Amino acid sequence: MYVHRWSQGPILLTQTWPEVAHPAGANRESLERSVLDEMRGGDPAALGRFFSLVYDKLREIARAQRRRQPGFESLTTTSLVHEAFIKLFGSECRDFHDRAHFMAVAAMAMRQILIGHARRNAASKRGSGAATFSFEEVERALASEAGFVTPKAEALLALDRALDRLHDRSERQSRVVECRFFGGMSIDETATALGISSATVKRDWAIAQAWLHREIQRDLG
Amino acid sequence: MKGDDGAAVNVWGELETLWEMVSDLPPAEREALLASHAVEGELRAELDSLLSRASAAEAFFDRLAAVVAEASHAAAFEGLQGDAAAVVQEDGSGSVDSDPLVGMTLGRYQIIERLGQGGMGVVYRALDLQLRRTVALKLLRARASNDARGKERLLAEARAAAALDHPNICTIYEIGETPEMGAFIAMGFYPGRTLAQALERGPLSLTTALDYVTQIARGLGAAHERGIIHRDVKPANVIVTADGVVKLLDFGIARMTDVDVSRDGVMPGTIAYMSPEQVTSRPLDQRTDLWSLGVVLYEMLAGERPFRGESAGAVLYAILEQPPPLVSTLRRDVPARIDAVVARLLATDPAHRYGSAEDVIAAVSSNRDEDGSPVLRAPALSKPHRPWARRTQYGVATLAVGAAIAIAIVSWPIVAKLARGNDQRTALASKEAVSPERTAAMDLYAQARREVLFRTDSGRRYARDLFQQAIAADSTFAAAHAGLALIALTPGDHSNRSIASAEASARTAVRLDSMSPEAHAALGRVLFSRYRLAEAEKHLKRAVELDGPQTDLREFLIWLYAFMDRRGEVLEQATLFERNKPGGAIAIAELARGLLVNGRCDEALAQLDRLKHLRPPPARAGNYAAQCYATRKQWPQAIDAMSRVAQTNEQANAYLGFMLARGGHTDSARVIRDRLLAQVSRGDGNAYGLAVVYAGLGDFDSAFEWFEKSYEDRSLRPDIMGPIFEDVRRDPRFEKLRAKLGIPNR
Repeated sequence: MYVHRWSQGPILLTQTWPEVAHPAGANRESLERSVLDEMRGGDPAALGRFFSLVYDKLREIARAQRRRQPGFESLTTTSLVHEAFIKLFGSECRDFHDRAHFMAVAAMAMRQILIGHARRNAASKRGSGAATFSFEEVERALASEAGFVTPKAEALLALDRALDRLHDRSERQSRVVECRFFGGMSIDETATALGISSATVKRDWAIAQAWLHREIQRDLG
Repeated sequence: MKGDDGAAVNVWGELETLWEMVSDLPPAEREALLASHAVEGELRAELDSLLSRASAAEAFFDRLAAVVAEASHAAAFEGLQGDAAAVVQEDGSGSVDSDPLVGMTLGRYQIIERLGQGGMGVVYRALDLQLRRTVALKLLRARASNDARGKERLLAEARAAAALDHPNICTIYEIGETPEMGAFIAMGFYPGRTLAQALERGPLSLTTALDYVTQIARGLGAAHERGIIHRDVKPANVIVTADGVVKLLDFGIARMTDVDVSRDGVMPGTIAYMSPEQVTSRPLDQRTDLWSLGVVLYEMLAGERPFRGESAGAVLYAILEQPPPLVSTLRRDVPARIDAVVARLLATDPAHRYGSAEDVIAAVSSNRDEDGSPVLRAPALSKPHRPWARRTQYGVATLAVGAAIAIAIVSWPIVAKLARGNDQRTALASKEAVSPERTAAMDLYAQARREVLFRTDSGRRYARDLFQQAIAADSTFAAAHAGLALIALTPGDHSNRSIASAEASARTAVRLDSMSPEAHAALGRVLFSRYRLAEAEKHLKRAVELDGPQTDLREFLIWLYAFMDRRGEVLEQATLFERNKPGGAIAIAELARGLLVNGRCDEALAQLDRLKHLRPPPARAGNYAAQCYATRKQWPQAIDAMSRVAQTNEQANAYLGFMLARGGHTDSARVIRDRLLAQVSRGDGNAYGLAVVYAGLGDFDSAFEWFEKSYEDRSLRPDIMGPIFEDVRRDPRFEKLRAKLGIPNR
């Protein structure tokens, strides 16, 4: 069954994650540990807290990495997610399932971070009166080397909307896309994280891509 | 999965099965297999539609994955220099990643990457090709580009800032101007993150916050010493390096591109750290930086800014009119002394702030407490939030002055916004704001209040003039009348004429505004001087009630109860006072008095011990400590404590004489007695002091003679009901005095 023990319920798909109050300083580490324990215990609310922690850590690492080695190549989503995991749990947690679950949550967090960024980029452009982009324009931009320009941001936003609709059809498939696409995870990693077979991940990934491609095309027109 | 979409779900499930079956097959075989399974209709159409775009979709997603890499790079980049994202939105300059300058060489600097953008321009990481070092290069968006002289002045100022060499100040390597770059500043590049970024993740630990605030204050102190004001202290201008060293950015260059507060559409965050004098375009000195430091400290501890709002106008209003809640109400581990530090940094009136950054460092690092002892309060700081219904004239006046200043100095759009707000208060404020008389009166009042704080005779005289001017400007201004009443009660001038004039002023104040705590306090104080103690109690209680739990006016009530020998109520009120003014030196001292009059000297001394780091300690703290020792018959300690107070406080000499006499130093006590006698005969001493020394010497006949006189000249003090005068009070003649005062024997 693809629904693993802590991903139940529609809470996973809320667009804006509830704010989680962070205690300052030293308590933070113990909080991270205890949230992980709560998650192991199957508490759905713990996922929200866990997500928030992961989200913060990802942003922090992304920035730190950016500071250290500016350059596109140094910043793959996979390396970000892995580093976040190590920073959050270090050697304390070697359990592969925990790691895989972390990766799935991290993928969701990455999705929100990146979509948030794309949204701000697009909003700043729309604010200056530029029109939205057609699917063709978006495809052309994707093929170009133009950096993170606005049509690309619009593509991500369209993907985000389509993923929401996909979730209504198949939560599992939307989850697979998040892991593969936003989490930079392999077929096998995704399978472990979501508790499904690699064959299913492979099939879901293929169907979802086709379906999303069609949806994005319809969306952008 | 959605329940209301059952058919689709079924189709979807079947589709997955079919996809698995046929997707890897060549088209011909796929066709045959699907035909043999009789897959047709909607399901078949959907399957074909998806299969037909499978490879296009895969390519599309491959390219989109590259976008994700770019976006994560960009998202990581976002906010690197604090509010870059906000600024990008503000000026619509769009994507930060497609900066044409990156890769170019300007002068001797090769631009490596764009770090961020702030109000003052764009910051790049660049390589100094000559010196082979990495620098942060700020290209200034000089607003003054048409004004060559103005720009020259600004650059000169920035050059002065560049001369600052301090570990907590970002080093400036070069300031210059080139045709290609315009004005630019090359400065140290510090790997780390801005405090703004650190704060995105919530509040800091107490230790970290105090460490950072100390480091920032050190940097500010070094600059202030050289007469340089930062003007733009905010988390985005503070870099915390990986080693935890704080570097203050952008010294003295805020002025180069003044943020125009009057511009409609200014981001609320832009002014969140500005001082009241800054948002009202008044002259600035170093204390504006201390205010901003207070905002930063508050945010580090509370995780939120003290002054917030949806619009710049709302933030402006908050800065001028809405004191934030105590940090300790937002997190428990913040001690009272830090509340007091924050409150003092965020005093609306710069005169009430610390005088220097060094003072801030001392206050933060020691465990001393703040002297929170205003005779009259600074309304914006200590006035608790009251329901609007109870804010009458005085409250409106306070609001009005903020709004009026805004109209006069800031500009119309923000005030218009303020007035448009659906908040009843702002609407009223704008209506009231048209009275320039009240504005002038409020300014004079504020100035007078400041003078009173100095507690000097010349200060009082000056304050009296200012109160009178305030009344001349607006004769209906109750608080000014109340201030005049209190000034008239200056110690040493309790002639009937001055008391009568004080009473007239106080009664006028109450008549003008029966809801004004100041008015009731003044009247209560006057009635106290007239020994109409029951009435005094009524008005002082009313003042405290009107002013809310945190009121400083409670001090009057404590004195009254002490004088009336109502020891339980002294302690009760003093306890409330200290609880609501956590860390306030006067409140702590008064709590000690409450304990002292109840004979709990050990506890009183423990409280006073909290004040021993104050330089100088409040006079009354030494007085109460000495009385505690005297009560315990520890005469050497008592004399030691009292003689310190007596160095600066003439009244203390009488108590010192008393203690010297009781401690066996009769000759010294007689010297003091003779001095006091001489003073009285000159007309500048008081009967009470002399009575006290006589009582110390055991000459009760003379003592009571002078106590009788002190009743007349109103110099009798509440201490007379304290434990050290117990033998005086056992004398039958004291009963007569009691009866005259209307104070029953317990």
